[in-house]
Amino acid sequence: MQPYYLPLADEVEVFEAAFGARLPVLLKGPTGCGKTRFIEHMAWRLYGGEQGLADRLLTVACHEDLSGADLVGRYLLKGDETVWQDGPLTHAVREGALCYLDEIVEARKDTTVLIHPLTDHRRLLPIDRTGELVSAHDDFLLVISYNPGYQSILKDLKPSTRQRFASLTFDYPSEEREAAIIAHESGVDGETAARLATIGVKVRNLREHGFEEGVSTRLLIYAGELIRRDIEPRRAAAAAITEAVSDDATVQEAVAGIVDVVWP
Amino acid sequence: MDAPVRVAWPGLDSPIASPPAPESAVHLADVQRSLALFAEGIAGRYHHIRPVEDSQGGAAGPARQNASHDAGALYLPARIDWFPTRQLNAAAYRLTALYQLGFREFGTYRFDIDTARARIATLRLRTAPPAHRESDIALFFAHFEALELARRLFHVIEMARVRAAVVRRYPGADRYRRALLDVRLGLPPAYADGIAGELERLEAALEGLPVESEFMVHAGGVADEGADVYDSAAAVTSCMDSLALSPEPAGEAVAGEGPQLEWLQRQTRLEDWDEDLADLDAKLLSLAVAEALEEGEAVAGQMEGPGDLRDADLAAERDALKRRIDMERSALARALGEQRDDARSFLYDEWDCHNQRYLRGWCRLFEERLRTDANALGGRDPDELLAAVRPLAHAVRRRFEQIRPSGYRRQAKVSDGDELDLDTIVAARTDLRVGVSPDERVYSRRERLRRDVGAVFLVDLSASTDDVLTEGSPEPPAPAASDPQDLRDPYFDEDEEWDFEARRLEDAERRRIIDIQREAVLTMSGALEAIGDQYGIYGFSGYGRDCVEFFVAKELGQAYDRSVLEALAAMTPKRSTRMGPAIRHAVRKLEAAGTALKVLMIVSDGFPQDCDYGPERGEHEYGVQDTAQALREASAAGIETFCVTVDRSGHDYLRRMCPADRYMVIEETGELPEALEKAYHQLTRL
Repeated sequence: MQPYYLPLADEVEVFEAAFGARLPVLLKGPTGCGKTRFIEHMAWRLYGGEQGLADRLLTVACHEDLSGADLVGRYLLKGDETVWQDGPLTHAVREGALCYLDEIVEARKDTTVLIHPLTDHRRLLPIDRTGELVSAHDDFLLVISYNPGYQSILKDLKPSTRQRFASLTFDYPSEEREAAIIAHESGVDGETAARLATIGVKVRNLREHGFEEGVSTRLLIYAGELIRRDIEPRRAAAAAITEAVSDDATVQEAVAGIVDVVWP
Repeated sequence: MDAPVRVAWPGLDSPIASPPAPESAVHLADVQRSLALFAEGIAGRYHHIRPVEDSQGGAAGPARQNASHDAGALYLPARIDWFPTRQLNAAAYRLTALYQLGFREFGTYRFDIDTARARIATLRLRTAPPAHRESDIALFFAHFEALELARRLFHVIEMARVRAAVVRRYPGADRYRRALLDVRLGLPPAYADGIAGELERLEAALEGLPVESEFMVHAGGVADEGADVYDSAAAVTSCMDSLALSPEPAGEAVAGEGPQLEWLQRQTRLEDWDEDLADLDAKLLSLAVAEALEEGEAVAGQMEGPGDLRDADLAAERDALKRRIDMERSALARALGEQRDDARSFLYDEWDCHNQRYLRGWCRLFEERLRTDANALGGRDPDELLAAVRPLAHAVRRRFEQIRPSGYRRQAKVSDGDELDLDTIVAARTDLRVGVSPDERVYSRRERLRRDVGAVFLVDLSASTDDVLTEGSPEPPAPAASDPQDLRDPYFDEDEEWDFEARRLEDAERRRIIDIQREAVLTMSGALEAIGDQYGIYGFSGYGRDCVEFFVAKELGQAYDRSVLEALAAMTPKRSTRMGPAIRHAVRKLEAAGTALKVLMIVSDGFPQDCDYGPERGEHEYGVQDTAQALREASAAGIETFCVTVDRSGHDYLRRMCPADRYMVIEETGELPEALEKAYHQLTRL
């Protein structure tokens, strides 16, 4: 089944054009606003449906200990010999797949430099351990994402990296669209979804001050799913939203207060 | 010697502490932080949460819930004990806040007099008043002879409309509205006579109490879905028309309101003007850019054209608007008091050592960024500051760099890594040969070494830091300013009265304590950048418990850049030294940063003092004890604290304030940077 994605603007067309020109793409946007789902949706469209999605999308969630070897590959010990094992990036480059590096700024700086020769006209991946220089398959596409709002000042993408990508900016959808997404994904009725979307908007008003990240569409969908499984709405919101956005008791109290008045 | 001056103090000479509140009562001080966040979530903008006693013009508010608002603040009861449970009382605070926020959310201030006259036929029968600078709501009231009554009626009716709109939009609040109604049903009805009583009855009837009011026939519809501010205005007009027919004297005095709607509408209008001004500025800028581009292409001397005239018109329009905004802002400031739009406020407890108890929510701390405009810099050049510390900063930085962990280290014997570790593989093969189970951790991995330290530098910006350095015989700290003007105006800023140029020239001749403090902190920031510790730089001052000022030069986690340098240069001596709340606020910041090691360094030049820091003016012990308590709280929260003072008499009070190894008295002020560095080394165990 095609992954559900409700376009916010012209991002689908731009991405298709970028894929046509084999331009690497950078997705910017807050956590849980639908970047990953967008990529799944696009992989389904571009690589031919179900099979394409299963075989041709490689997602790597970057973390601070992610090293170049984790992307490119490493030697493994197998009995008496060492065997080279491709990493997800090398695999995508060889086989022609979409490699999605999620939250790239989290990864070590040396990792980001690795992708530079892949992102210009050369489309090459040098592997120093094996001495190989792998030319990218024609269907290979590199997509990275990062969240400029999150710890923005300490961790920012280097301009030398950023300027190699076509950029698409994402944000949380409007209240109406978000309600439609929540209703579709969690299966709750329209009114419940609309209330969850209202909570989303109100809680995001606090994102500057109470906490760094606003409540994501994903969390609102979780709340919807709990409600659909007969959890009392305030309890569901507490579990999926209030407790999830912050550990600060004061912020939790404020968020619970918002949920409490929005819910009938 | 003069008798000590006493200030109002709970439990001593003011009725604040009595009668005792029931267990279920909720105090504003307890909920103000979450309430401020709640209001920000609902309204999308920050509001100071203040007790209703602070509001201008008295405590009378709509619907007897004793609440009001202005553009920047919500005024709520200092205590709510209407319900038998704390949970319900806390919810009552949220309900009250929602009602107040509702005025803006549901369009009260979008009232437009032309629309009103177009929509309300009976209003058109009345003569339109002449319009000057009044708000549209004021023009509406001016349609009526009994203006005060019209205003009161409007408030009552509009409040009812807003209440209904609020519970429709926030249906969860309806439970609390009904609970409140039940409470009110249990109270014996007491209404005044005459028109004032009629208003009270209308208010009660609109809330849903079983009370008869003659006005209900006109105002009953405002709670309906779809009713807007013009329906309220129409209801007011009908009520006023009906009064004109009745024998009752309509002009009878009725109770006044808090901050009046007219003024609040003018505040809203001012925000619109500000937006217009920003638009005009943007237009002018884009024109200037376009012109500069054209100029590059066009031959000189051909630039006179219609485009310039257009620019001139636009510039004139912009200037006129700017003047109008400035005039309006000062008029509003006179009517409603100074607004602190850029600041956020927090309430903090204070330790009353005489009674061995905390005074709940006693101090209001305003947090704001240090202004770095030319006025705030007062002619000081940030680059000069940088140049002044360069020689020292270089040395300190080098010393810090030596202890900096060296970036990456290769960690052998890990189960997952980028390289196979040959030594371990050989060992593993050997083990296999001799029949022992081998170690499977045959990889090596590059690991980053990092420190997890967060530090806050809290700089005393009291007036005494203006003292000139006289090495060898430092002057005693200046006593707190006691100009009566300060008492009336808590925001009186001495600095604004100065001739900056004259002062700058004078300053250039001498070095003051503040200079040394600034330089010491800047030196430290260079060093901390080198080792990668997180750090924040804040200044504090203030005057009185309602106005503790906390200035942000650099937030924890913020990158060090030009703006930080400018903020440091803009640190100037201000007013008093109320240390307790500043420490408590810094502790919150450190806790939020969540680093493993948290360090709070306080740089001061004298003992804690403020005009009302203790029941008796000029008393030192109270402030010292409150500061000591705040430091103990910090310590309990896992924060390493350290006080550095340049006051030679510091040993006397620092001994009572902090543990012996947690303070340092600097003999020569020039030693401050080095002292900070040493203390920092010691605290972070380098």
